[in-house]
Amino acid sequence: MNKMNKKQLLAFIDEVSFALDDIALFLDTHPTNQQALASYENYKGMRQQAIKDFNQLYGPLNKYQVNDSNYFDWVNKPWPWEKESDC
Amino acid sequence: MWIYEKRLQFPVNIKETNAQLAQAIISQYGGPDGEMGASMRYLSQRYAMKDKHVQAILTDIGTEELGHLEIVATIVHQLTRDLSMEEIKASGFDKYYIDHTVGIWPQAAGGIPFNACEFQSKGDPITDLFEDMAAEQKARTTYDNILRLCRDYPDVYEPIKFLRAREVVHFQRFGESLDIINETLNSKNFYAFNSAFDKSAPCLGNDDCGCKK
Repeated sequence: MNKMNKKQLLAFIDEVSFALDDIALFLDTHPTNQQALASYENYKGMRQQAIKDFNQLYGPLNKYQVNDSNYFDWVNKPWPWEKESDC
Repeated sequence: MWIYEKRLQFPVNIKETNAQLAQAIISQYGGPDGEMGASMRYLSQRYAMKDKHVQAILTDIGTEELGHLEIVATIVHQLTRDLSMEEIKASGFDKYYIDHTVGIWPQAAGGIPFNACEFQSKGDPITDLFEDMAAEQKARTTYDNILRLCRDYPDVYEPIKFLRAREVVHFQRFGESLDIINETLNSKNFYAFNSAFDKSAPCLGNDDCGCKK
C-alpha cells in the first residue's frame, strides 16, 4: 500500500493529473505524436494507481468512487476551497 | 457531461487575510478577462466549430478554465473568510461586503458585474480563434498585473503564477488550432467564406478556376 501520507498522496495526484491535462491539450492538436502518446499512457497509469490508493485509504475524489460505506466522507470531508482541506 | 473531482488543479493554502488583494483578484473570477468569461467563451464556441481537433481543444481548455475559476474563487475566499469588521472598513472591502458579505460573486476589480458581452461566440472559426488568442493574452496581462501586487505573499503568488503560465500554453494551442483551420481553407483568400456556415466557397475569379466568369 502507498507509503505517502494524505497530503503527499493528494499532491502526487495533483501533479500527475496536471501532466495529463497538459499533454492532452498538446494531443488535441497533435493526436498522432508518439512521444506525447507514450507520456500520456505513463502518467495515466500512475494516476490510476494513486487514485485507487486514495479511495481505499481516504475516500472518494469523485461521485463515481462513492459507495454505501463512504457517502458520508464525500459529503463531510472538507471541500477543496476550505482551509481544513489538504488541497 | 462533467465530473467534479474534489481537489484543485493547483493547491491553494492562504494563511493570512488580505481584503485589498481579494478585491483585485476577484477580477479574474468575473472581470473582463476572467475565468468565467474564458470558460463560457470556449465551451460556447464549440457548437459552430466543425474541425475535430479544434472541437477537442475548445472542450478541454474550456474545462480547464472551470478549474481555474475554482482556484480564483478559492484564493478570494481564503483571503476574506476571516476578515474582522475593522479590516473590512479599513481596506475598502465594505462596498463589496454590503451586497455579498464574504460570499463569492462575479465582478471586476472595479465592481462592474460579469456580463456575457465580455466574450464572443461569433460562429466563424477564424474570428473565434483570433478572439481566443487575444483573450489568453489579455488574461496573461491581468495575471502579470496581479503578480506585481502580491510579490510579498507567496501563498497567493504561487497559484497566480501557475494560472499565468497556463494562459501562455493555451495561447500556443489556439495558435496551432488556427493553423489547422487555415490549412483547410483557400490560401489565396482565407476570408472567402465562413467555413462553419457557408456550404461552399464562392468563385474567386482566378484564371485557373475553370468557371469562365
